[in-house]
Amino acid sequence: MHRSGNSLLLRLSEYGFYLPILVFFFGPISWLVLASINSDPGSAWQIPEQVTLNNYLQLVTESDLLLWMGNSTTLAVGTMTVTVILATLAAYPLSRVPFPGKGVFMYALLLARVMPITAVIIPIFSLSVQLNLVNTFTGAILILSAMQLPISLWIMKSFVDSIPIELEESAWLDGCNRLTGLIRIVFPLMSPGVAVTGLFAFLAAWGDFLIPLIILRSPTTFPIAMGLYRAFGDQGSVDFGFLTALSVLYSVPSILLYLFARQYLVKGMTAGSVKM
Amino acid sequence: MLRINTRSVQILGQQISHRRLSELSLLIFMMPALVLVIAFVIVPAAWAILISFTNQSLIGPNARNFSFIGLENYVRLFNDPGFWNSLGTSFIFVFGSAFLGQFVIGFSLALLLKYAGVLSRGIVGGSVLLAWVIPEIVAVYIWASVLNFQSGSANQILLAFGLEKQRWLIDMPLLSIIIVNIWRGTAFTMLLFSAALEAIPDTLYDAASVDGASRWERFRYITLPLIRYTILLDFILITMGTFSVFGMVFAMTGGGPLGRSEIIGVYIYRNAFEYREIGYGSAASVVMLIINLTLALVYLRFTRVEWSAEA
Repeated sequence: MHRSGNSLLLRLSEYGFYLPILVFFFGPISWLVLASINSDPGSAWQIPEQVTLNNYLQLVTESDLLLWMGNSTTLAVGTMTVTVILATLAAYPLSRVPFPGKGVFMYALLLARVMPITAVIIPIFSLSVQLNLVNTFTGAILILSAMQLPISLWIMKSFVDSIPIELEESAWLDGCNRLTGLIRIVFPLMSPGVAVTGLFAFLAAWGDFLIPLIILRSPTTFPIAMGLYRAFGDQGSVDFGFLTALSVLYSVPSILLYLFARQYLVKGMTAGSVKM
Repeated sequence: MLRINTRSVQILGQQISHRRLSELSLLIFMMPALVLVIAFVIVPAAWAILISFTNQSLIGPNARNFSFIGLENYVRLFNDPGFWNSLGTSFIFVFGSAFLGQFVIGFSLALLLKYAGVLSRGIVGGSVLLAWVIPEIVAVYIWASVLNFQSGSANQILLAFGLEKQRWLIDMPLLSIIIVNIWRGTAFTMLLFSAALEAIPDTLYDAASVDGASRWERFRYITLPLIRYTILLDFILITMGTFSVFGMVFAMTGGGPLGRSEIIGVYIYRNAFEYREIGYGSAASVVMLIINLTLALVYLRFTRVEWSAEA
């Protein structure tokens, strides 16, 4: 009797902890979703008296949404493509070929990965001015890819590390050379790595705010992040319906892609660190 | 039984010397990635150091015809109360949101959710993750509305408990950005510890229970020793991560009012892009780089990269 009473108390105290956590973490998101389908939205949390999809319809007809979406897609797909191609190419020699200073190099990549981008944003801007990359997607994509590469190289290398060298050796015995072995045996086995680094690169570019803020300054190059920022930055003309619907629409791809990448999240977060 | 095929061993042996050359030529595949990282990560870091000794400005005559002015920027920086304010603000921001918030909540959640049912795990864990995965600017917009003075839900809750409404972003901007950053970053710690706890075999706990160990003893003598590296790793990663936060604070408060939520990243941005002094802003960048490098070196102490070529 005593035991079950004790565990009931424990259960209750657990829920007592969950409830504020749930209010804190889910409350704000529920406001966003509820306001986006409310015919009379505001900053207060409220159940819509009248549910409507007009806020979403209004997006398509009345704003630069299509332009922003196109720009965000260009950024994300471009960054994903550049990152995946460069990381795939580099991963094989990083994993298989011994060269002097390799350990230091892998360390340097970790350092580059944890470097705050704010600290180098001034030279990145100056460099972009010199290379005529301001207001170009090429510039933003190259910078975002460079930011994404250190972690991508680590993840890709670990995927190649896990491919047994014996598979390649038997291919060499069957007459493949190093390159054809790489193309026929290794690349196909790297596809999970390609998927993970691609997803991470897409998500990073899709959600990024700092690089567009610095590089994509002209309204025609705004991705959704900049469009949204400018829209709610305009004081006094806060259109809750428009902004909440846009926010939901902008978040959906991120949420869906994270669901796909879920099993690799921790691997990506701790690349290069102590094995847990 | 393992039988060694001597003939294939011979062939492999003959191929090895040829292969060594072709192996090295494979290094060329690393070049494109290397060039990009050097151009946009390494060169900017070196460049920041270089221009921190100049009076270069963003526009105007000093944009092209700048000159080296020695340590002047640094002297000015260390005499600027605004700079020390931004360092202090950053410190409180990191301590409050990473240690007191993300670590405590994330760790507790990972512990609780390990034994929770599918439903609580999905709903509670899912909500925490959701806050992490949505784009940064959406998080800012949501919280700007939640903390809205007139009718935001934070004040709705205060009113419901009979408390007074607060002007969150005006009277307590630093607390506000700390709360938002806890909201956004707790998932990282939760995920890290969930994975670490998952890796501990149940048999250890079972054996301890048989020996009569209490819940607390099992935690103290099994869980804690096994995850101590994860704790260190998490501390370092969230410290660096929080120290690097920029967009959320910039878009939420812009560092204001009166610099009361101005973390170092916002200080750098303001001096470089609003006051257009990129030489001076770069001096602040270099300080930020040094702080982060120090943290990163501690981080590398806990990595398991081998220094040998076989790494």
